[in-house]
Amino acid sequence: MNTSAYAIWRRNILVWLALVVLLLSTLGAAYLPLGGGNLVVGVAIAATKAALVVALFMGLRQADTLIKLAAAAGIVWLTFMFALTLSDVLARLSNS
Amino acid sequence: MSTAPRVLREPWQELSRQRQGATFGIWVFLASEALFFGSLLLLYTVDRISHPQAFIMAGRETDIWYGTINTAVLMTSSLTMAVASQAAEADMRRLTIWCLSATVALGMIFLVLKGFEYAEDFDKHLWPGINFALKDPAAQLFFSLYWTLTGVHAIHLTIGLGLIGRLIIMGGRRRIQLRENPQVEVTALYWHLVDVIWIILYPLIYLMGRS
Amino acid sequence: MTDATLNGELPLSLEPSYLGAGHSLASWLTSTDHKRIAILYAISITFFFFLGGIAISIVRVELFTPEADVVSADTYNKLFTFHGIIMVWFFLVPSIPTTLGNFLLPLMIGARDVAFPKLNLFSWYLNITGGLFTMYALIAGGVDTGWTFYTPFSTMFSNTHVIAAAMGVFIAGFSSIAAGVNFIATTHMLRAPGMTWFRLPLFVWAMYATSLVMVLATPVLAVTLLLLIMERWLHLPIFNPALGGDPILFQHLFWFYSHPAVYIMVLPAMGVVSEVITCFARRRVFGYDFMVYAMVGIAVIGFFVWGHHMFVSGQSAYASIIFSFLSFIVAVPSAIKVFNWTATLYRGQISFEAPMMYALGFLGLFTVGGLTGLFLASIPVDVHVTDTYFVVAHFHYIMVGGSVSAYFAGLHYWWPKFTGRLYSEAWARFAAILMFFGFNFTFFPQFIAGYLGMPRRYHVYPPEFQVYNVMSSTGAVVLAAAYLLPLFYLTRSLIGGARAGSNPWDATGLEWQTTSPPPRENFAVIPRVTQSPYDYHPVSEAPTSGRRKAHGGSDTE
Repeated sequence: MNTSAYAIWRRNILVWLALVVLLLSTLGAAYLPLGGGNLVVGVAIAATKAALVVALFMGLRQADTLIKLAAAAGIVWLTFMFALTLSDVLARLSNS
Repeated sequence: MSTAPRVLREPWQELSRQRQGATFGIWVFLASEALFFGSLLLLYTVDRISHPQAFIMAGRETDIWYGTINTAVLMTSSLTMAVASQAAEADMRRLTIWCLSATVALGMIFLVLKGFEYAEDFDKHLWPGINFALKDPAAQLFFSLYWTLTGVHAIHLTIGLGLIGRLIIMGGRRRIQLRENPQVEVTALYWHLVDVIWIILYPLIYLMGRS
Repeated sequence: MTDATLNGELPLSLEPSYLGAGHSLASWLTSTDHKRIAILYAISITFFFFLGGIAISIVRVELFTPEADVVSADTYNKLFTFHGIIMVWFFLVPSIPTTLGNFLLPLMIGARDVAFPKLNLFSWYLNITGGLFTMYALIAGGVDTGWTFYTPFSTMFSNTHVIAAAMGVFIAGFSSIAAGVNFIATTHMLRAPGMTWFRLPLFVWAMYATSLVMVLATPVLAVTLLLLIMERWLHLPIFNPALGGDPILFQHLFWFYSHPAVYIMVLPAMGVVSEVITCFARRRVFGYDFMVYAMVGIAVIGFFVWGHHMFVSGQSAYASIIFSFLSFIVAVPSAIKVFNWTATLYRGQISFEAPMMYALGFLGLFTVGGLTGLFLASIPVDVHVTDTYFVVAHFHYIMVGGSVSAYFAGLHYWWPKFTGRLYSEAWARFAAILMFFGFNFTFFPQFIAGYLGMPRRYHVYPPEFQVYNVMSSTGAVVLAAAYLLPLFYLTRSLIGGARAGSNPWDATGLEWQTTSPPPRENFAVIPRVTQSPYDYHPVSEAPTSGRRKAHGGSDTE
């Protein structure tokens, strides 16, 4: 891997530019009348930005499998928490 | 040529293993942070599902300029942090310290802007209570989440500034070596987490009800 | 320097043991040696144990009679709340992992310390700081919400020191997370050459599984308490139903942690029991692989069952059925473990030293507790007995009959290793028997009282329940005596007890291959592992005539 200052700046600024573009897109999309779609678009773009930071700035893309597993565990456990809690919340909402 | 004390410490026998261990350890901690902020997001999700209109109305009251500029500030601080971390790897000491300092500066800009934003929010009666600006009671739930989420995030950010500041001071005075130092990687990953959390909070807090 | 094999003795270090390396108080309070930190934790959890015990002793005195004649209702509420908070977060959750786990994990895997020694010390200070906040809450007048802090009572109506207590637990939670991170990293990265995952002692696997739960569950507790504090202190509406908030959401968040927390409390106990039963039956464990899968299974599935605490709270029937079903499933790996321990005992050469007596007690009491858990997993039964003494008896059978018994088993088993001294086996056996009988007298009547309808957390009760309460309170006196006895004979062993050799029980495991007590760096030479664990009865050999030389024989070296 090229480790000159120029190379370091270049590869990171490319990621940063992508993030800026996504930020402007999500800002613009918020003003479009998409109804419930606004939330979906907003969350989707946020997830993409987050994935860029995690994979590239945080080096998860090149990390050992063990580290990828640790990161995945956090997300997977969140889905357990969301799924089971929402099973109750949604059931009660639909009953009322 | 650096007179800083050794980075290798007990019980590790090799520096590369110690660095792997530190990186693994901080990622495990980040997984726990995912559960931490995730719980708050679960609360947001449940409240939003239960009170969609109130949330959209309340979301309009946040200041989109402060929010967007702060998001850009934090994203840029992630850039400088990534460069700092990679520069430390490449033994570019001056670039490392410069970028760490830029990261701290950007983090402080974030906090200052947040302070102004909070002051404005108070003026607009967005603190839940008797004088709350909006009629719908559930709108207060949105703002309870707003104050809690941004407040907890700001605390995490401040801790991050402390960690980075420590690297700058100790590294600047050569009390610690920055190259191959697991503490740099650990600090960088923690800081990126602060950025990721804000990236996720941004649409939930600032982009509701704009259309 | 050549590697020594596991079969041969490792060269014993001539350096001072970890106890001798530094005598000042400061050397103890600033030590990053995992063994010293384990001792620090042992002292603090013992202190908290007796504090929680005093609180519940007053409760049991009050419950001797149906009337309120000892304390007021408010004081009573504060007593059982304090008992719960202290026992759960400042005794049970730390107990085995931070004392036995801290001391033994590096030794068992052949490492010189945990992965992050300074973090280890920091986690003790976090625990103490949390304890100080909680003690402040006690001294300032107590908390009366129950250890479960349910809203909206805790956020809007209680007039007691909820915030201080919640802060105490919040801070102690970070101590847990730090310990979990440390143990996970240690197990992955510091195993000695040849120590593959499936050669690890089951105690190490237990620490690992417990750490996974600590890291993934405790943050949610932190958020739950944070939200409680935000609502109570800053009046931010979060769970307030008048403004659209949902108190049941508090319960979801609280129990998402607190159910896995019970596995934090029981998995380490299971690890200890595996070590003790194999040694005192002189048998390798039956079904090692399934014992591992079972522990990991308990750790994972334990995250899916929390709603069984909420069957009568207003949770939807749909979710309740899902949680009930999953709660039945989570019993399966625990049952597998009980079967495997039993099979390990079969055709073994069983002897009844104190550690074994506690471990066998665990086997029976945990089974009773676990079976009654199945009753509670069934929604119709739960509706009948929820918030009665049936539930209280169930969880005490597991927590006290199970985890505390196992803690005592481990404490006695490894006492020679930690201290280099042998305790009085006669007194220890007496205490173990006393504890078993005292425990059952205290808690079995509670199953009956609960089934017949006596509610929990009540300081007065209808007279028809008195007979059970008298039995229970009397049993508690016996139990208290059984807990106090070790303070005496264990302390006595420190002063004049016989010195222990490196392996007084003739046990397998790397911790027994170094001196008692171990030197500061644990091993003179990092061992290389070539054998599976629990090689007590190699298939190729007849059982050795060599028995434990701890008592009535000379030491092997």
